[in-house]
Amino acid sequence: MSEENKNPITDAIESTKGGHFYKEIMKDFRIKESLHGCLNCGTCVANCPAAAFYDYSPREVCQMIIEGDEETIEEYMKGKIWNCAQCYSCKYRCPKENSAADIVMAMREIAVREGLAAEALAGYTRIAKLVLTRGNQLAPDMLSPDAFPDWGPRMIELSSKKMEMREELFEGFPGMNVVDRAWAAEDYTIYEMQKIWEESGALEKVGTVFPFLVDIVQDDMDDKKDEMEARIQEKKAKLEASKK
Amino acid sequence: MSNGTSLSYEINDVKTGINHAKGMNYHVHDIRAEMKKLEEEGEIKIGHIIGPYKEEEVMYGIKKKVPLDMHYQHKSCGQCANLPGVPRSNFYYRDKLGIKYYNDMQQTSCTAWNYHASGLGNLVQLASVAARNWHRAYEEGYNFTIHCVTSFGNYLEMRHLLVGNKELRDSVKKVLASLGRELVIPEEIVHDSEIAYALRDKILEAADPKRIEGINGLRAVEHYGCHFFKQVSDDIIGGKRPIVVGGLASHLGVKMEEYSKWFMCCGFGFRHILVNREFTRSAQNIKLKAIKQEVDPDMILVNCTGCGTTFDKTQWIQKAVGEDYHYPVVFYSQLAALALGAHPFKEAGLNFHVTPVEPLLDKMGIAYN
Ligand code: SF4
Ligand code: SF4
Repeated sequence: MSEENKNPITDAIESTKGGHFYKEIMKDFRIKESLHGCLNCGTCVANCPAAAFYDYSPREVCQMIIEGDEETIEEYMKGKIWNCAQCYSCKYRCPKENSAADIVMAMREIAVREGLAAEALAGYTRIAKLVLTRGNQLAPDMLSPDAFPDWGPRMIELSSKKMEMREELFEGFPGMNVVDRAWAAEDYTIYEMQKIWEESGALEKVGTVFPFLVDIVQDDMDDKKDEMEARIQEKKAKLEASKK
Repeated sequence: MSNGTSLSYEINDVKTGINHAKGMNYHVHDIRAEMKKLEEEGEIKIGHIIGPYKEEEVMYGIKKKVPLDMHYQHKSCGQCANLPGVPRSNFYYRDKLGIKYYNDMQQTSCTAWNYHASGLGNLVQLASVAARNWHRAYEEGYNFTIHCVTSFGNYLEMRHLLVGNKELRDSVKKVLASLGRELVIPEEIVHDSEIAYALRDKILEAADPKRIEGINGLRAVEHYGCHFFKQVSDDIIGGKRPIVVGGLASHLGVKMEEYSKWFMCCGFGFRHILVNREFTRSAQNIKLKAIKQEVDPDMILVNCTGCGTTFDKTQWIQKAVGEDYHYPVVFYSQLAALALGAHPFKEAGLNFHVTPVEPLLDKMGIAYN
C-alpha cells in the first residue's frame, strides 16, 4: 500500500453520495483499504458469527457503504454495529479483500464521538476506568464470581484463594502479584498513558460517554504533573543528545 | 512417531505448501521492503533484531526472523489477571532454555481489547500506545515479543497503518515527542507462540523424557485467536492457516486432530464476553459440539488470551442445554513448560483454569498436589 494509492471504487462513491453518517464514515482512511467492490457472494456472511445469531450482515455493511444507503447506515450506527465480534473472519474470507470488520470499527468510533454509544457502553465503565487510571485493561479484582455466575462453581472456589495461589505462582517475579491491575505498572507509565489519551484527542472522546472519568483522569494527572513532566524533560534532553 | 518429530515436519510442509497458493486478488505486500525504504528516507527508525534469530516462512515464502534471545516480554493484561499460568509458563520455558528476557513494569496494555470492544480511543491513541511500548523494548536493548494475540494483531495492524499513512505517522510522532520518545518500529512483530514454535527442537532436546512419555499420543485440537491470523493475515509463520501451536505440540508427541469448525471465532467478541455472553455461549456451543462429535480430544490447545478464557470458562454452562463438556484448555507455552518439567500448578498455573485439568494431568502421569 503506497500513500498515493487511490481506490477508484471508493473515490467514485464519495463524489456522488450524501448523508451525514456516510460522510463521516468516508473520512476514515481505513475505508479505502476496506472496500474493493462487492460480489454480493455472501462468503463473509457464511463465516460471520454475528450473522449466525443476530440480525446483522457484513455483506450488508459493505453494500450500504458502496450504495451510500443512509437509512441502513443509520440502523447500523444506532445499534447493529455493536453485534460484530471483531473477529475479521469476513476480511480473511472475502474474495475482494473487503473488511466489514474495519468499516464497523470506524463506525463505532463515530458512534462514540456522536453520543450514540451510551447504551452499548453501559456496563463498560470499569474497563474504561482501569485503562485510564492503571494503564491496564484487566485486573484480578475485577473477576468477581457474582459478575460471572455462568463461569461455574470452580470460579467461586478460585476467587476465594486466588491471591495465595498467585503469591505461590509468582514467587521471585516482582510486580506480578497485584490486585488492582494486571501487573505493577508504575505511576510514571500510567502518566504517559494518560498523556497519550489527552494529546491524541481520545480523552475528550471518552468525555462524550463517561464525563466523570475525564475529571478523574485530569485530577490524577494534575496531582503528579510536576514530578512527571520533570522526568519527561530529562528524557527529551537525553533523546536530543543521542541525535547529535 | 515416538516423539512426533517426523510427523510435525510433514504436517507443516503440507500446510505451508497450500498456504502459499495465491488467491485471486492477492497483491504481494512486502511490509519489510516498505519499512526499509522509510528507514532510508529517515522517516522511521527500525528496531533491528538483536542477537541470534531463526528464519521461518510466512505467506508468499517471505522469511520472518524470529529472535531467539533478548526477549522484551510484552505481557497480556488478560493473561496476567485471569490466566496467570500463561505468563509464568512463558518465563519458565525461557529460564529453562537460558534465554534472557525483560519483564517490564513500564509496559502498558496495548488497549486494543478496549478499542475493539467499545470504540473508545482513536487510531492516533492506539498507535501511540503501541509505539510507546515498542520504544520501551528499544531503549532497554531487547527484541519486542508479544504474549497476547489481541496485542499481536493490533501491533501488526498498527505497523501496517503507520508504514502506509504519513498523516497517522506524523500525529504519532508528535505524541511520542511529548513523551521524549521517538517512532521505532520493530523489525519483526512476533507472537510468543511463534517463538516457542521456532524453539521446538530446543524444547524437545531440553525436555524431561518422562514428561514427553506422558505427552506422547495425547489427542488434541487447536484453536487460534482470530486476531492471530485473520486481522492481518500475511505475516504469520506457516502462511494463511496457522501452524505454530499444532506444530510445536506434534513435535512434542501430541497427536493433532482436525475438526470442521476450526476456523470459527470462539465467541469472545471483545464486548460480548462482558455484556452479551449469550452470544459467547452460543458460539461455544457450535465449536464444542463439533470438537466432541468429530474428535473428543484430551485437550484444546490455544495461543490466545480471549479464546483461552472463553473455552475454559464456557464449558460448564453448556449443561444448561444438556451438554457435558470437560476439555482442559492448555496454552502452547503451558504444554512446553510441562514438557520441560514444570510443576503443573506452582509453575504452569493450570490450577487457575476452571475447566478441570486434573484428569489430563492424571493421564500424563504428572502429580499435582
Ligand atoms: S465476501 Fe466480500 S464480495 Fe462477498 S458479499 Fe462479502 S463483502 Fe461482498
Ligand atoms: S468481524 Fe464482525 S462482521 Fe466480520 S465476520 Fe466477524 S463478526 Fe462478522
